[in-house]
Amino acid sequence: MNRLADRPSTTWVVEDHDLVRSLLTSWFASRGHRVRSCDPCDPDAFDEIAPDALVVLDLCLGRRNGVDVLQALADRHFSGAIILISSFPDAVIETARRVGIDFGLHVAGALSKPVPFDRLDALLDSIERPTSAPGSGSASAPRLGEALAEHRVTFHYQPILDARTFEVCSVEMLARLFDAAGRPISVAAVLADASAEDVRGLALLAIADAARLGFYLRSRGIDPLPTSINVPSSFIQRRHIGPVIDALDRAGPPLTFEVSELDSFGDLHEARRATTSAVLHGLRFSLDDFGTINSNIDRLVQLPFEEVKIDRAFVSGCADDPFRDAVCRSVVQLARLRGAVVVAEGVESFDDLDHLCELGVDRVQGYLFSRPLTAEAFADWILARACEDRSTATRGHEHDAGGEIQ
Amino acid sequence: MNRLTDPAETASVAGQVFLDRLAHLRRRFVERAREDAAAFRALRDRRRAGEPLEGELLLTLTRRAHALAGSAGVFGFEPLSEAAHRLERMLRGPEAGEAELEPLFDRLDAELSALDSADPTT
Repeated sequence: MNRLADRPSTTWVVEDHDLVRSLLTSWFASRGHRVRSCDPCDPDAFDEIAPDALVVLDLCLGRRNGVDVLQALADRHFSGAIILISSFPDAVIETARRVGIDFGLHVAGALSKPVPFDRLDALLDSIERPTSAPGSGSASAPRLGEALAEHRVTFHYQPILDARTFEVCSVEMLARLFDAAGRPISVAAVLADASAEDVRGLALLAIADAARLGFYLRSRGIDPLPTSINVPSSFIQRRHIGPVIDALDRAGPPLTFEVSELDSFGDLHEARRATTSAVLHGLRFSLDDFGTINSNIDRLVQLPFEEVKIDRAFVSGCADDPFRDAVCRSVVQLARLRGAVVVAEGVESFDDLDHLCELGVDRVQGYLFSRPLTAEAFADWILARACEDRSTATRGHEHDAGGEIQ
Repeated sequence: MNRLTDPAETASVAGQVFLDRLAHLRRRFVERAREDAAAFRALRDRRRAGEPLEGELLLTLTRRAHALAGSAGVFGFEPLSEAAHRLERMLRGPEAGEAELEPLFDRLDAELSALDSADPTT
């Protein structure tokens, strides 16, 4: 059974301020939780916390701090959800969240004080909902290898649009996985536990599927679109890319490999040879999730990337947040200097879209236009847009807002 | 549907229990404002008596300001939370000089006194 399918056995409130602790305790109790609190300074306090509990953790705890507690939970192989709360600045809360993730813990959310109870409410809903588990390391998460062997992997397709004309210029393929009972499962959770070999297996499946998508679109009267496929850094070796290049000339749309940020290149020299020769054969490389983890300026300089994708963490809210704005601005500048195309992913609001267009982003992708769709829905979406283009001469936001089919 | 299993019914009952509890905790927070004010004054006096703002004194002050900033915010006392936040930021900053600190202490003291004299039920 999925560990997040039910309400956590117990909710532990780890907060040193007695009145705030009482408040949180009674709030969770009012939601029907069985609540306990513990003295964060007692080193044995965490032994009682069940592995599937929910831990609500204040970061500043007198002599002890939130990082000590995260460490203690990790040492005890805690696998439940953790919610961080703090009145420290957002940047501190965010890095604390990442510390938890580094420990292999499932940090479901991080909230700043004063605790917004409506957001806490929404967060709990997402924790208690079985299909939204974003965490990793769950004992019950199926192996990617098994899912591949049992054909429980499909792909969805999300359009990438020209930021000036809003024409669809390419499509990104995104894997969807299902458990043995056919229920959707979190791709992130499965990928976090997957072997490099299985992740490469997934990339190969995607390459084969890209050709199928091309044939399918043609059967619906649509010209095949350049297609982006996510590949891990470990794929960027001549022995893996060679066979892809051999197949490139035969059929299918132009391919772009979006190199994920998660793993680092084992052998940079090999990666450089592999990418350079692949580029000479017509393959494109895109630096995915730029600005996060291993997706950094050094990578942009070392390899022949023709595209940079700004991570959604910096795109979402860039119109209002000076830091996100500065990141997007710098990425555009850096990419220009490298002659690379800039794609903003995760565009979800008109304000952000306007802002990104002003900054000179070349392409946009996100729920504002369309979520990832099945091949059939994707073709419908393209055809519906083509109809609209014929029936309306106007271009702009209203036009695009009407374009999403869901 | 059984009255006790009706989620809407249960939620509204639980909601009222929570609101009563919140009101109670809020009163206790206000009652404690006097203690907090005294504690800050004592720490401030040590500083005024010439004790350098470092080590245990700095740590205690910073922790108290942080705790007050967070808890005042949680219980809805925004001006007090903001005053404590400002003091905390200054204490964590590179230089916390007399000229910068004194007005922040004054402000915090004023907010705590205002809370202490206010009607805790409002």
